[in-house]
Amino acid sequence: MSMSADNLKHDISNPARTYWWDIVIPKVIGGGNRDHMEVRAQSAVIPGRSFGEILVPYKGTGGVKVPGKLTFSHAWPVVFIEGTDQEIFNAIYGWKQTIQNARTGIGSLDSLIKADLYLRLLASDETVAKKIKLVGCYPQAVDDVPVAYDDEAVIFYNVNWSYDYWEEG
Amino acid sequence: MIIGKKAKMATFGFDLASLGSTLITKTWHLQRSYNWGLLMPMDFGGTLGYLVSQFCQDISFDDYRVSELSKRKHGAFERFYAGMQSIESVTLQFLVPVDNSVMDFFYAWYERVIDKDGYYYPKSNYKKSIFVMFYDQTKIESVRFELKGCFPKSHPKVHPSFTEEGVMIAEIILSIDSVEPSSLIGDIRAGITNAIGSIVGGS
Repeated sequence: MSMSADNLKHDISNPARTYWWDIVIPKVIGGGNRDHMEVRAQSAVIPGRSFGEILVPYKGTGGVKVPGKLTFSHAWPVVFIEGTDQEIFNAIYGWKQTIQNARTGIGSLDSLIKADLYLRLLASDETVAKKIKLVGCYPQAVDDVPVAYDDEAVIFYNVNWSYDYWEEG
Repeated sequence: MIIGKKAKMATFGFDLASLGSTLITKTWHLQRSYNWGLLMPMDFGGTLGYLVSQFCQDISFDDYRVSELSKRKHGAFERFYAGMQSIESVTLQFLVPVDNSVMDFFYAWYERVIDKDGYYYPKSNYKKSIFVMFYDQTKIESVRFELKGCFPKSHPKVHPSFTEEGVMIAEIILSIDSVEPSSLIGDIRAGITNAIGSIVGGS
């Protein structure tokens, strides 16, 4: 096989861009507005996966490697831009209060606080090239957001979603 | 880098049987410590043992041994022979669902040993076999252990705490008479070995 640039051009006529994507939140637990959340997502990651590593030592050799358990990071960070309507705050706060009320300590059943979220990778014509389904999501953590008079910026929320596993959707 | 040609691993220097790591890598199918399952095929207190089995997270039944040796003195020497064999207990750890099925199951099993008035039941009422199956990577059963004559020595032990963050785990200790392994793959292997042995005159 020749290593010319033409080969690459023939092979990848249209490289996937890091900015052609969106997220789908079919159900916002706690009553948030899904449209606002989907539109305001500013960055996300394509989740990875790996296997645990088992090394079996054998005599003087380097040993024999066999795969262990399938592992996920179980964390999917998404950054949302906030508006003065505070829709992102309201949605995430409502979801978290449904998981466990801060004042009463009363929470919901595990099966009622999780939803499946989707990351869609798009083609240039906005058709869906790949859909990744993150199963069993809930907002595990929201980072602190500093506010200050000497700043000139908009507010972003870094939301870390916990998930059970992901698959092709 | 070798392109278009299969890289070959060298065999060992003093490996008289010519078993190199290449062969071993291809033929070893190692049992994973996490590919296993418990089956308790009995129902107590209106709770299905099959369902409770799914909550088992950890099991230990490793200390099956000849615990007492018969000793004979012969001049300046001692010779040892097999004596009593024993297995102390089986320890299991279960997740605790909020429907309390795991607790209900083992409390009901315990009450089949001794009733609330302190009377003992006959052993047929409480001694049961449970099974531990090992699976290969394709989820085909490789070995099945029958744990014979099991009954709970104690009620489930739990450790609730405000300072910890986790799911509740109940520890159960079962008394056990014996462990009996069986393996279809092992039977096939033994059959082939015996057949070859009978042809070449092995013992």
